[in-house]
Amino acid sequence: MIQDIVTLGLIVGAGLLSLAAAVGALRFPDLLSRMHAGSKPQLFGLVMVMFAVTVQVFHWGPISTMLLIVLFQLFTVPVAAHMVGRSGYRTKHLRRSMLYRDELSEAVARAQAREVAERERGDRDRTDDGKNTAQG
Amino acid sequence: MPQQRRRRQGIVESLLYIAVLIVVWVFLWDSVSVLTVLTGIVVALGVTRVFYLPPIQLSGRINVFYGAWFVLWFCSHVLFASLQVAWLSFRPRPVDAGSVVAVDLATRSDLLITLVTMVNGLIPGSLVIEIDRARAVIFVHVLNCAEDEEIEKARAQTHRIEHLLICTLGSPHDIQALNEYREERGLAPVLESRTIRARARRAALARRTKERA
Repeated sequence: MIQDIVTLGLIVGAGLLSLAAAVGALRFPDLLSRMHAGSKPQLFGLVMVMFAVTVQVFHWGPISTMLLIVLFQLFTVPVAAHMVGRSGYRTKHLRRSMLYRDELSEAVARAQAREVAERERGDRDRTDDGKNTAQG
Repeated sequence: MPQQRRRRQGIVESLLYIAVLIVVWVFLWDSVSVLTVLTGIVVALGVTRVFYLPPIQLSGRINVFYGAWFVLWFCSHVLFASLQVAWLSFRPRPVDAGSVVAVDLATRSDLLITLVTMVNGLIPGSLVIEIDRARAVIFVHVLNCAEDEEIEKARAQTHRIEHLLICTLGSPHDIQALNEYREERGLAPVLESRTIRARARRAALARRTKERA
């Protein structure tokens, strides 16, 4: 009886979290915000479903398989979200108006300025060398 | 001597990976028998040979107390942040703009940068979108973050993750870097007896007493 109530609570919670993920993916304004909705509440929902199954079937076999499922989800979900977010940013699939502050664009601008300065310095050195050899 | 120690450490690490793979295999078959363990050994050796990956550099130390503290902290944050993101998607008012925050990490270790990135990605509301590996800077996108106060909060959270992870399995160099970082901000140092400097001091002291004897 208590088992069933706990299972019920966990599965309803998991369903609500998955629903929240779906609503968030629909309502959030841009790609980066949607990545938050798409990956995380759903993961926590899955963990809750796994707990619910464990409460019902308290055997070593299913529990070990569930541990593996949760573990691999923990490893793969953040990597997938990172890759989507990163490629989204790099291909400029983002809305600037939905970013309050963007320290990455500042860093990219600094790196570009540094690169240009280095290239210019390189060019100057090379022309200097050319003059020296011409004089010599 | 150091070379010998490094080779021994390499053997221990590869044995550790093979043991983990065997455990995964046994978990998949749901039974511990001679057959599953033996096939597990064969599969683990085959996998590590065929899909060769550059070895992860483990630091060789682990602190169980900080590890448990980290797991508790992590679970509570995942729980509360999940509810927060769920509320953000259900509430009538749409979310505010997000921010991309650059966080300067103290550590230079690849393993720790990866772990901080992954933990950041698992806690709802923050997501790492770019890593500058050479400078150990990670760029975190924070959901619903349109105030300077919230940006500072996100930065503090990432530093908290790093602090707990370094205390759990960082190398003496990492702890040293963390303490230097904390000193700059006027915070008390942690695990001082585990830093590389304290280790060198202890080694020098031991050498001196040996010379005297």
